[in-house]
Amino acid sequence: MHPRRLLFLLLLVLPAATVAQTQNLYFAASADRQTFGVANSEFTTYVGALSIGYWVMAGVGVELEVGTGLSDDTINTLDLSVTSMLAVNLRLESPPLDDVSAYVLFGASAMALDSGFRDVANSSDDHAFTGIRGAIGLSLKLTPQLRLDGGFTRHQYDDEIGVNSFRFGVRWVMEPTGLGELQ
Amino acid sequence: MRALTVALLAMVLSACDAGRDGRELETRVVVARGGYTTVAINTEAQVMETGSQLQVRLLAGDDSAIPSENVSDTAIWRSSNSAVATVSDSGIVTGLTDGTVRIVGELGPLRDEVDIRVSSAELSEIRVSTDNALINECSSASFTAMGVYGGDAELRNITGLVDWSVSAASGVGVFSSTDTDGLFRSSNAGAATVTAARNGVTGSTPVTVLDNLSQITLPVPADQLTPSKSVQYLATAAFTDSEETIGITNNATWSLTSDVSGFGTIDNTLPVKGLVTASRTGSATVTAACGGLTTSLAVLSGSSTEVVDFFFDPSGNSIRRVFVGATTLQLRSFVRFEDRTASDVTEDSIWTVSSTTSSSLTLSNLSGTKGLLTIQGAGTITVQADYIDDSTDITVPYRRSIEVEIFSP
Repeated sequence: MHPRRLLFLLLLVLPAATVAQTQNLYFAASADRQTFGVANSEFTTYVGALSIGYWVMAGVGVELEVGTGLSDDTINTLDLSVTSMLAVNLRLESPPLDDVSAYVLFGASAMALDSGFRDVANSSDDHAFTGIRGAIGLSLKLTPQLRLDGGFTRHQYDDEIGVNSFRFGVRWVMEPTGLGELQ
Repeated sequence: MRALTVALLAMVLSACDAGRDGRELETRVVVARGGYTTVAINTEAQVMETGSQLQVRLLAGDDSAIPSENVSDTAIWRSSNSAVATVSDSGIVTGLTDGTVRIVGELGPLRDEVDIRVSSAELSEIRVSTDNALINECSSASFTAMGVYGGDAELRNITGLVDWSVSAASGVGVFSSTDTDGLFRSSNAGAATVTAARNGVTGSTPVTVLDNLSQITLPVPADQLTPSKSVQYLATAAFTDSEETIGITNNATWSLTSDVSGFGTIDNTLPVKGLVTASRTGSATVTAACGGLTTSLAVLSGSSTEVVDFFFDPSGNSIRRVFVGATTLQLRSFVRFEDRTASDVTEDSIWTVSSTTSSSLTLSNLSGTKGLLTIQGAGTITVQADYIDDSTDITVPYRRSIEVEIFSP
């Protein structure tokens, strides 16, 4: 992983920790396997993401999510990597059944990519996209505060670029008996 | 927190222009996938009339050949002065006022540019000419259209801009919209008038197609036709008044006939004429016609690719199933060739029943439903399929049997 990106992730953790005592907050760390569809081609990359959420009412949360690419991919001579990702989500989560809840996310996201041709000097170029996203998934309660999340996300940035993403991560709920805990 | 969320959402959505960046990334992927190292702009003219449109194409390729892959719809187009002329996402330039504009086509890191002059001078006359006013039957001739603008002030080559036509009653040939601009393809002897038209102005010149075709020849292609593969057939013409022979593949009319149902197809439209694609094994006849003459060539699909295996789907020697009500089971037979490709020959096989213990199991050998087993009760049936490879001299059929047992639950 690029040292700059690691630093980026660490810097995101610090402000999150400062507000960690606030009720109704939750935090998550996840890894996404993202497959980009561009011009009838695909490239796949892993994206690490951190998010902070707030239960505005029972089973309804709003989230801010940031992330960066953990791996690169290549289409022939073109190297592609995700430099950063930013998203806001609305989370709708069902009451747990045998410690398993279902959730859906709706939101918007921005993604920055870098592309460069091998053996071509100064061919690196940045690309930024904004679009909408939707996700479905399941959440397993491991402890009163710790959740294991897994799900699928579809990002649509424009007619040309769509991203399918499989997510696996953990979520820490600050107040287990708070608004997020539907009964 | 809510206000913060709304603010962040607005920030995200206004952060950047997704469409432009998406297009640029797409062009880069196209360059990488195609292995392109160079692009070149191709235009029908470098001078255009105000109010008119001009298609500019961006062709991509590698260093080993002249760029030929049309990537106009993927490229990013720019006009140096959109007051003089605009350019669309697909490379269509629209002239607005008098002036010169630079049109740039970009495909990832590759780019080319061309200067286009927009002129309001009006077209007053079209002069049509050719170096081949007298041509051999079934041959082609190129025509050029020069436009006279602003009185006699300017003469421009507008070959690629005019609409070409030939006097229809003569039936001596055609101009194809998919063909090279100004290329006339003859198909019969006779005299005709070639006309170029633009903006209501026309220009004409006569053409004569000689009645001199003596023979059409269809050489046997080097490539062997096999199922699911295509082979290009070519036609050449000889003439009564010379020893010259010329290719007339794209001027001839092609047809394919076969006793084998669904044998295959032959392309009879430009830009690919004479391309035979076989779907099944067997024999057929390819015919090329032009100038009142026809020539045929017998073709075989699969003749040199020897059949090395004959097998069923479902595979194996037996099938056992529980009877759960009336149903059907489609048995299919396939041949595998030397090159390991396979072809479904269910409809080419002869399906028979070797033995059966029940009248509840029946097998079809009727065209369209060959190999279809109808199951109306329990029992055992042994089905046999024979396949004779018509493309070889082998008379011993390929044979496979399979036992189907349907038992009561």
